[in-house]
Amino acid sequence: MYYLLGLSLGLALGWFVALPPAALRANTALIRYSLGFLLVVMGMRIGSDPRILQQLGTLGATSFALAVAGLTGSTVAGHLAARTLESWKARRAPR
Amino acid sequence: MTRLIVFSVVAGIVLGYGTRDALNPEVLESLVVIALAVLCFGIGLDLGQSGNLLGQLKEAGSLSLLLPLVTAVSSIVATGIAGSLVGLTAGSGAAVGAGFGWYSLSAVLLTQLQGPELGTIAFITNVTRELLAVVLAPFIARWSGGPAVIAAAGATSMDVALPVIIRVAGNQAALLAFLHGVILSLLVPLLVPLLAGL
Repeated sequence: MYYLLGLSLGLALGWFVALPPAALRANTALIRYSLGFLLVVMGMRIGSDPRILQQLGTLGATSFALAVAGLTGSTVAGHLAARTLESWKARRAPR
Repeated sequence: MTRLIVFSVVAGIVLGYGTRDALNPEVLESLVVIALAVLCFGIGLDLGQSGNLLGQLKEAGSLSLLLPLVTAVSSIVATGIAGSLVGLTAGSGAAVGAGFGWYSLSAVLLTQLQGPELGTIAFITNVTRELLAVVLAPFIARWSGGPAVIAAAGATSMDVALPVIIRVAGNQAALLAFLHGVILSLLVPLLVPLLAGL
């Protein structure tokens, strides 16, 4: 739940306080380095768990299938939504 | 960004494998919680600084609200179905898909909620989705147009994929892409735990 607290605090601070450019640059660096650190620690958890390493081939195939499904589903749905909205607007437009 | 992702993960795996006998899983767990809270604070600050989000939403028109909703529902349904076809439960597949490309948060959440196996699947799935969305963007733009490219990028349409989206779909896609990413990013911490509990 600490991540929600972090997100809420950041949103509130960003929303109500106009930060100087130097602070925004520092925030960009904070995001970059904390992301890098998080990925290293996540990698360490994978590397130190022998079950995960043994299953990486199977997990990789499953993950690829899920990625393709999510990407294809949202691409087709986004295409259909935009087309539907366009034709709906065209029908409502004054002649 | 791609180099940062690959380098950090590979370095972590090598480091974790090399020190596996000395590592304390509880310490790693605490480090993840701290790093994630700091990362979320930075992302929240970034989102808050982007200005009048509600005003921008109104300006971008009805598609700005419709498109994130369509992306969320279609991703969740498609990965739920795919998950049940590849041996996961539909809820687990949908929870992985509800990361919408935000690999760090979805992977950590699912590791905490369902264990390292589903966390790893979420991580690889969402990294792969981000990479495919960027690589396939020119083809999707030629086939359909801006909204489909933005939908494909999921939550990454506000950051990593944004320069590519602007390049293939034009400057007019920038605001829609940003708002799409903001809304989906806000949904990730809510939807992933919700779907993982199904």
